[in-house]
Order: sequence, then structure tokens, then C-alpha cells
Amino acid sequence: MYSLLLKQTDAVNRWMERYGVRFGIYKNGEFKEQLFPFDAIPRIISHEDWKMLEVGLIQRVDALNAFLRDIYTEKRIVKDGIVPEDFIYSSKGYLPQCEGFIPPKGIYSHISGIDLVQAEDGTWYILEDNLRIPSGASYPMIARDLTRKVSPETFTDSSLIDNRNYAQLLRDSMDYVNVDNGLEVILTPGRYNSAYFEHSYLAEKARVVLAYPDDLFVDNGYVYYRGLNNKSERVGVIYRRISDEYLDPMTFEPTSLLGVPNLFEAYRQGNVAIFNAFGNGVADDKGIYYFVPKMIKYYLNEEPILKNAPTYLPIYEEDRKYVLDNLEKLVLKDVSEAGGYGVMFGRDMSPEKLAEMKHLIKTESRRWIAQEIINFIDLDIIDNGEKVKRKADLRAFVLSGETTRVWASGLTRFTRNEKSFIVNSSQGGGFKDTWVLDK
Amino acid sequence: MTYNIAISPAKASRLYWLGRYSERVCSTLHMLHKCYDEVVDNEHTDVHSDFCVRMGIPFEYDNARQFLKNYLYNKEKTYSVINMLERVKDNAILLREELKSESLAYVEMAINYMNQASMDESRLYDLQPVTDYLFAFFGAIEERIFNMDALNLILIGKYVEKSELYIRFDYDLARIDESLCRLEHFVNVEVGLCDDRKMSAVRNGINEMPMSASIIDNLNTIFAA
Repeated sequence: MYSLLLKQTDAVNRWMERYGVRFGIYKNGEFKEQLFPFDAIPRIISHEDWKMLEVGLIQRVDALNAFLRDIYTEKRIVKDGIVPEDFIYSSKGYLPQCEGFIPPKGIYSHISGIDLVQAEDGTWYILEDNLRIPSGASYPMIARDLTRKVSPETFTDSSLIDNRNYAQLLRDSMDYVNVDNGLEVILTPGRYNSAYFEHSYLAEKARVVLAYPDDLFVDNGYVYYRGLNNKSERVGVIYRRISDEYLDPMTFEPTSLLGVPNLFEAYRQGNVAIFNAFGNGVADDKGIYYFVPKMIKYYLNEEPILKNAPTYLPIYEEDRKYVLDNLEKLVLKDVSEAGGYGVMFGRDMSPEKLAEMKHLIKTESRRWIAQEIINFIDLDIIDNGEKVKRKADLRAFVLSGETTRVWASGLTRFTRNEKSFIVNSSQGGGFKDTWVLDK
Repeated sequence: MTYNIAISPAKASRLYWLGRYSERVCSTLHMLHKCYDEVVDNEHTDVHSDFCVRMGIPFEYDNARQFLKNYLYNKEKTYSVINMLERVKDNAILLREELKSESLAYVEMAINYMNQASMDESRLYDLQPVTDYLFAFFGAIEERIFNMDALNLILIGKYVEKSELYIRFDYDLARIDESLCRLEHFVNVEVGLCDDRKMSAVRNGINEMPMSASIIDNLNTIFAA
């Protein structure tokens, strides 16, 4: 199905270089841009699997949006004893400033990046929900564009869904929440952000303005884009690629130079949509992940379609005992870390490290979750001209607007290290296109 | 899908400098070819010192070969061609949504080629692809930029740079005038962005011989943003 494409791998990589498809990393305090290694063998998802994933992902994101709305307003799920209060208020992502406010059209997570893996028995598991600034859609977008260019025969008569509609899905969501038909912007911290390529590429393809922090200002509760000749334009929606804490120095981190002063006030007055909303971090906390299946039952009165990886919370006595007794065969995650950091496999720990971690699990129970290691399927990649098997995950993108839609594609990331399960680009991973079959 | 069109002063400045640096790379490579052409007839001609004086850069090399190597490839020197090309990229990379990826690709290819040439210490005549890529870039942006203000700002930068270099290298008055005419056209379209009085002073100044240094000062400050 993709054999012709494989012969053109070098050509695809040359095009990637030509288009500057890079990501940035900081090493030893120095910023470096590097090409994101692309593997031409696609991940192929069957039509049946996709149908199941699609409804499962929509269900999950709808529940997460309902949770966010509830948490910042009535807190029914806490009052009803489904999620412990402590898990909300001790979460770094919970923002008390958002209490009582519902964003435009009631949507909190406009773009959700849901990380999944497929076990060897074919079962799909959710590994993580990313509801703040999930990145990565641009890479399969451009990969499909380039692979179609260099190997059109591969796609002739193929039965895969064309994924080149992501920019349109993005625009539809932005248009839907746009306040007073204002200017639509993607707000980037700048060139030295690791995902800068994506910010600029999405702005190009979605035909919105790429704004830098100094381009925006707030006047009398409204956000404006600073124009030429002192003519400024009202902004209706900001797809921000800057974290909550740096987005408004008047409300959050006062030393932030990346933010727009008083942006939060304009947002709270309902004069601009922030895409994704402030305060979403409370719902994609690794600890809250445990409760998502319960949220689905609570808010939607449905059985969860997609499974969580079996997860244990050491704050519960029974779980803590299990984790302490079985740490050698579990994966331990620090809930405050992201990007593949703070993930430790018990089997790789020395006896001293195991003892240290067990002590921390007892003394800082809230800080950790433990999961069974899912033996997820290896995907073929080409490494130095040879086909080898490597661990890979899938980030699916769910866009919420008038309806909730799943992009029929996704970012498949793989590890290049034979013994590693960590697929993050910041740790040397590569990516593949994700083909979804339409029959 | 409708377009969101807006240009901030910072973006306008990037567009302008993108035009200037792109033109500077093309024109200086061209000027270098012309200077070294003189050596063909007289190998003792002191072309590099004359070139440095005209460009307003320090004259700090013992011979033409050393000068050329540093002028082309020395990343430590702000005036080197490779550095100018980096400035093209610095501005272009921040403007992808206006230029479009297909246009930006020509800048990527120019810099990749230049970096390889630097490692190989390629000779001047091997750098023609850099000029070709930048010419292709100028063609591509005319095709792909739909925001006419953005395109005009790049072209204002381009013709400020071209006019300045023509003046510095004592080009024929008619050539200078042609370049200024193009510049004036874009200045008149972008009402309020450029200083009309300075534009007039430049136009009047080129008719006086010898031309005063203030012409170049005026040219360099025409763009107000």
C-alpha cells in the first residue's frame, strides 16, 4: 500500500527541509532547531477502529468540557463525591480567577490532544489528555501534503481519508467562538518556542493573523491588534500558544514578558474568546485522568467507550499498598511533569532508587500516579535503511465548536531508541503520518 | 475561508527589512562579480579596498582572496553575505503566514546552499544559485502574497536597498532614477507609511553633482515605522 512511498523517503525529507519543518529544543541553555525525523511508513487505522475511536474521543472530550464548566461553576461532581475536592484545589492547573465564569459558547477545550496507544491485543488505551496547548497537528498535515506530492501513485485509488482539512476545522472552531466577528489571531511567544513552526504554519493554512505579544493590547476591556498608522483592529478570538501563567502579567506571573497586560480581564468580561480557555490544566492533570471514566458516567450517563490505562492513585490506601508492593512492574508518573519528563519505570530502578521512590510515594502521595505497563504494539520504522520495530503512540486531535469533531488523522510519534517507551520529540522521537481508512 | 488581514508596526518592519536584506544579498553578489571582473584586466587592481569604501565596511584584509573569503562566509562579520542571508531568514521565518511556505522555501534553500558553500569554501561564481533562489523568492511572493500592503512593504525595502547601492557604486543616473521611480510608486501607494518629504529630497538630490551623503540618510529613513 505504501511501498512506492518508501522509495521516495529521501525526497520527502528533502521537501521537509525545504519547507523548514523543524522543532526547537534547548540543550545546555542553548536553543537549537532541528528537523523532526519523519518515517514514511504510515500508521494505518482501520475504518472499524476509527469509528470506535471517533465516538470514544468525542464522548471523552464532551465529558471533559462538562467537567471544566462544572468545576468553575457549581462543582456538582465534587459535592456528589465523585472527584475529591483536594484533587481540584491542589492541582497546579486550577485557576481560582476563573471561578464563576463561562467562556464564549461554553467551550473550554477547543482543541484537545488525546494521547492513545494500542495494546498487542488491539485494544486502544488513553494515556493522557492534553487540554491546554496540545501541539503536533502541523506535522502530519504537511507530511500528507508532501507525500502526495512526491508519490501521487500511492494515493491514487487509495481508500484513506484526506486529512488536509485540519486548517478548516480549526477555522470553523475559531469562527464559532469569535466574539463580535473580530480579528482571529494565533498568539505565539515567538521564534524560540519549540513549536514555532507549527504556530506559523497553522496561521498560514487557517488564514489568520500570527500575532506576537507586543502586537496585542487591551483598552477598556477589549483586545486590539496594533495596526499601522495608529489604526487598531478589535480581536474576537485568540488561539494562544502561551501557557496560562505567562499570558497576562497583571493577573498571573508578573514578570512575564510574553503576556498581554489585562487580557484576563477582557476575557472575563466576555469580550474575547481564548482558545483553549484559561484554567483547563485542572482537567488534564495526570491525577484527574483517573477520574475521566467516572466523569463520562456522571455527566453523560454513558459507559466509557475508550479505556484508561489501569491506573492507581497512591492517595487511596488500597492503591498505595498495591503500588508499593508492585512498583517494580509499574510505571510511575510525576503529575506535575509533562513532555515525557517525570516518567519512571520501576523495572529500570536500582534498589536504592526503588526505596527512595517508595518513600516519596508514602510522603507525597498526591504527587504520583502509577500505571500498569501496557505492552503496546510496535510499529515498523526505517532505521539506517532497515525495517525495525519501535514503540509508538498516537495523538488524536478533537476540535470543539458548534459540534465536537475528530480530525481523521493524528500525530503518530515513535521512539528511535530500541529500549525506550518515550516518544516525545524533545527526547529524540520521530513522527509518522496517520492514515485512516474510509472503508 | 476568509482572510484575516492586519499588519502591526513590528510586522511592517520585518517585511521592510526582509526586502532590504534580500536585495542586499542579490545586489552585493552582483557588485562583487563586477568588481572582480576588473581584476581580469588588471590583476593588481585594488578592488577589495574600493568595494569596502563604497559599502562603508572596514577594510581589514591583506589581499583580495582573504577579503572575499571573509566577506562571503565569515559569520562573525555582520556585513558578510552569509550573515545578511541569515537576516533574510530571521525576518522571513517570522512571516510565513504572509509569504506562504512555498515562498519561504526559497529562502531556506538559499541559506542551505550558502552554508554548504561555506563549508566547501566555494568560489564566487559557484554562488549563482543563491541569487537564483532569491530571484525565485521575489517571484513567488508576487504570486502568493494576497495582502498588498505586505507585498508593497517588502518592495519598498527592496527598492530602498537597490537605490542606495546604485548610488554608492556610482551607477548611471538613469539606472538610479529607474530604481527610485519604482520606490516612489510603492511609497505613493502606502500613504502615510513613508516620509514624502524625504522621498522628494532624494529625487531632487540625485540631480545635483556631486550627490550629497544626505541622500543615503534620507533613503534609509524614508520608512517611518
